[in-house]
Amino acid sequence: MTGPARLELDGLHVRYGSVPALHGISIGVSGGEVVGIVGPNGAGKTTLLSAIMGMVSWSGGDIRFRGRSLTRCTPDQVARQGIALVPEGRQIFGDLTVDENLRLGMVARRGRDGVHADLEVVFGLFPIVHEYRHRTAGLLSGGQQQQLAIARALIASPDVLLLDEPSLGLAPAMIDIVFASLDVIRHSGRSIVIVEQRAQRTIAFADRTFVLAGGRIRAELGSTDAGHADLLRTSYFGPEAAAPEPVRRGVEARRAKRNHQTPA
Amino acid sequence: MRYVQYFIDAVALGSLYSLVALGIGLIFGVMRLINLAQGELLMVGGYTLFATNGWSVFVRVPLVLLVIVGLALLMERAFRRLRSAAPATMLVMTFAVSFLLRSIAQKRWSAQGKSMNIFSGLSHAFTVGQLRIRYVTLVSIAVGGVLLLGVNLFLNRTDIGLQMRAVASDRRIAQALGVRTNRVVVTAFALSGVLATAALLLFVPQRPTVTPDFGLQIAIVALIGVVVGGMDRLAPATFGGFSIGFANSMVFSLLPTGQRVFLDSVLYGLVIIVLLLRPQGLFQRERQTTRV
Ligand SMILES: Nc1ncnc2c1ncn2[C@@H]1O[C@H](COP(=O)(O)OP(=O)(O)O)[C@@H](O)[C@H]1O
Ligand SMILES: [Mg+2]
Repeated sequence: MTGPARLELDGLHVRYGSVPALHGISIGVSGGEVVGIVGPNGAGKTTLLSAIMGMVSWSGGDIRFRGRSLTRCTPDQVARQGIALVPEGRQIFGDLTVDENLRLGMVARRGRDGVHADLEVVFGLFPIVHEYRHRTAGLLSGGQQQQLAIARALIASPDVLLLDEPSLGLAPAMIDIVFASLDVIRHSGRSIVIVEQRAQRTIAFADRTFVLAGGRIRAELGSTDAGHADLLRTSYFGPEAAAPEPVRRGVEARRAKRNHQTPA
Repeated sequence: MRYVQYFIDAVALGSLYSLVALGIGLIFGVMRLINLAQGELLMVGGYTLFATNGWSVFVRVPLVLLVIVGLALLMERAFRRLRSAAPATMLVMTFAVSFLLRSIAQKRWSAQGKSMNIFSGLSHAFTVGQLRIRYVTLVSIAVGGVLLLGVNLFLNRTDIGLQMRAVASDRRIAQALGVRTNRVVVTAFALSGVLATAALLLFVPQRPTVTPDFGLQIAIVALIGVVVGGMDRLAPATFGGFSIGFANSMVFSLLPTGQRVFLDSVLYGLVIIVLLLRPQGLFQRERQTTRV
């Protein structure tokens, strides 16, 4: 393929009209890495994923995939390069069948090779998608639709899987199913960018998690930071709110260390 | 027996309008755009027939198809530039295109009707018992049926057809899945050009003269049919087109000869009643309230 599947956001600015939504976001996602993004409602999480997909354009900075800028790419071109989105609110095609939803997921595949094997994997992860494949997708429950949305993205065989609040509105048992499937997916070598409001679980699951608020990155956490409630609160309410000194230093130290490890 | 005759004639006219309505519905589906210039496809095709009177049908039919599909693709190009504009802007744009094409036709050929002779044999009739059936009636029903079935198979059995339904359902998400939406929209316009060509050729035996308003008159009726049927979905829109053609023919046959000037009044009276009783469209299920 064309270079390692590294995704890089470099000083990304996005605005809606004159209203800025993202202020200089820089995040690198290496091949096979799981990156979490947590933050309150309106933080800019969906905007971030939309920008990666080419669904909104950016006013400054750049997004690169495999070293090439995605500036001029339309969403279908981004999808065909190996980035798949599980959109906020699932957004399956409710008037099409489950099977047809999956076939639409295959549109972005580079070639038909291995489609049967991939289907087996997807059906293994989500037996309900296989069982209900002839049903109208809109008749599935919310959790089943979420499984279908992930299946639809996965069958594109993407190198990077973007998930926008996959646990939103799901019962706890369904959330477990979703995260269990993500755990399998991460071990298949795909990168995952998961956006959530459910911070603790995301931080524990991801290799690294960025806290986004007001369109800026407030903190970067490792998977062992899941318990640090103080740190989270600080991050959500911005740096103005006093944070316990040692923890903040911890974050900065970790960021410095990472920058050292992976030179841009 | 008289009523059987009326019925058969009405089915034939209904299938012609259903072709035009399906063309309008296809474009509305993928673009959320009511193309008010749809009728001008038939008009321009009509003048192409007029200009080639006397040529072999084996040249004329492909030529008309080429002209109409070509014009449909040109329209797509023009509308594409406005894709992110407000719906009202796009609507005005389609009307402007319609107006422009009719003005050009008027300038070039005047408002006087020009005859387009093609398939004149189709006007002939045969009798079965007391029924007097023109060949064009049967051919209209057959061609209409085959094309409706064909489009149905295209939408339900091919990849591009599936992508077209996906774009109609949610363009943004379809594109994010890798669907080349421009290609899908172009396909929809081309398909609606094919349908307009078929409709034109079958309209000729009963409306053998083309004027600048030839297409507009047909498209307006079809459009009303689409609205009556319910334009959110293809099948109701198409069946709405069928119904308005059917009703048109039926009311015409049933009105006493002296009263036929009231055809349009009766028809649009019916339309108003339908829309008052079922604002979501005659063949549309109740609007789904939840869409997650
Ligand atoms: N299409 C849009 N037009 C204008 N403003 C928008 C649009 N989408 C999002 N925004 C604004 O951008 C900010 C970030 O929104 P969003 O990315 O949806 O946040 P999140 O996904 O974190 O809840 C919010 O202030 C929101 O109001
Ligand atoms: Mg969001």
